Amino acid sequence: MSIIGVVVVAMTFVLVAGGLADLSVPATVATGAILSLAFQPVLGTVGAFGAGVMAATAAGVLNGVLVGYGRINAIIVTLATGTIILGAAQWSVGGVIVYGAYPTSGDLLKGRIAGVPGIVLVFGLAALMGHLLLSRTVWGRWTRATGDNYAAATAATVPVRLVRAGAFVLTGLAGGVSGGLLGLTLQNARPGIGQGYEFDAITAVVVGGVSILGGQGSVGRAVGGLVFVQLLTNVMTLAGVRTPVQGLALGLLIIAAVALDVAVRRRGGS
Amino acid sequence: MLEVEGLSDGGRVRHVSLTVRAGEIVGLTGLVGAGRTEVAQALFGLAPRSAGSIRVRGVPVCPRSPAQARRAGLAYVPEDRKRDGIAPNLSVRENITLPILSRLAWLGTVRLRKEQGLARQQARTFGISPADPERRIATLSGGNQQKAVIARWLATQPAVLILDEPTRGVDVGAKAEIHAIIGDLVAQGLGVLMISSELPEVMAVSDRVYVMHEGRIAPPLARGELSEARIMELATGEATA
Repeated sequence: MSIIGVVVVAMTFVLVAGGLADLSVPATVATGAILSLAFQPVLGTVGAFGAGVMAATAAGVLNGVLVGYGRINAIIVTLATGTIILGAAQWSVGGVIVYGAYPTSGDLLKGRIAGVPGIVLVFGLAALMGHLLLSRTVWGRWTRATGDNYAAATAATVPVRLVRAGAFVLTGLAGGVSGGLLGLTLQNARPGIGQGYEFDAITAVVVGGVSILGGQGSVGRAVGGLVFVQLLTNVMTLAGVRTPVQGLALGLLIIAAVALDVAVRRRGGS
Repeated sequence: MLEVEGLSDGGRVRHVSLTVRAGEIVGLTGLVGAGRTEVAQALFGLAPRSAGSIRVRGVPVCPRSPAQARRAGLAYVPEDRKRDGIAPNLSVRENITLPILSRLAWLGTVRLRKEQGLARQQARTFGISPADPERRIATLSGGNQQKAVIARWLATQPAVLILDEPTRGVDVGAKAEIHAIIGDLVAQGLGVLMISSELPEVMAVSDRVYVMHEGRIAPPLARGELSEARIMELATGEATA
């Protein structure tokens, strides 16, 4: 949950900025995971982690330029770049599955600091930073204004293209961090390691009440959505609900959340 | 304050020249589709220009984005308030401070106290009702939303304010208030370019009036020369100037 949580924080910015969603998350997660293990013998643990995050961020910049400045539909762009990025990451390491060179390199993440698992600390820090960025800064205000009314934000001198692009740079960065954490924890990485991360992240954000239409939402709500979905999944598993039925329930939950959002917006009359 | 010469946008606007002096309200009218809004957008960096020179306070400027236009001393209240003016789900305060937010921030963080103070002051100055700047702007009446957009732009301390149909969709009371606000600002030395289709409004408020016809602009009519018949002649292209 903490590993996906890092992506949830960034995905909030994409939705709030009115950028729809970033579907290239599985690719950036895989990039982070594969590179942060594959480069360990060359760059060391920290260096390899940094390389993975940087490569994933670069992919986010590509998405940002195409969506923000090219004004191309984000779903199509990220679907396409996701395939490209994944291919590039796979090709760069040659193999299909990568193992960590130093089996102990993930111990800090698995261990506890003051009773809290290291990985939870990383997520907590990401959530706090994301929350402050969205709620307290000029950038956060610009993000909400851009998602709320793109044309009005443009006329009010908000750098709307940069703001939209920035949201995708953030998801790229978060995907890289998330992937790196995943790789270090598991000590192996396959190209399909991030599969479903985009779906889980979007589910959490939408269920948390962040509007898919842009302009409204907070990191706190998105994290709340994440916790709720995880609890629900756990409860269902404990209650013996089979996986296909769980998928059905989550799908219905998303539809309900989006329908509620649209209904509230209509009533708001704006 | 504002001197425009030979402005063209490669489309509708053809070789438009106009001047707005300090403390003056200049009307810009014409039939729908004559290119008035396009002139405003080209001036404000919202649409590309193919030719022409712009000077603000005597300084040549070449705004390619609204941010550059703002820095040059221009302000623009768009015609369609819902589409281009307000961010409906943001508060009145957040709407007012949008163009000057960086100035209210320290290390990228908005200084809330300072922002609230400015928003309250603007709400009072412009008579925004209800006076609480924390309300979602979509809950205000059209006239009060419009006052908030004007307050937003006056907070940037511009040299020239371009108003595009400032009283469209605004009730009679708010209309009078908005005219009074414009009058006060002009008395303080602001130059105003007011685009309007309502001839009574144009004639009542303007010191001089430009009329556009199919992308071209006629020499301005002074206050004494204003009549609906004269304006309509120019607007329909029947006049032989």
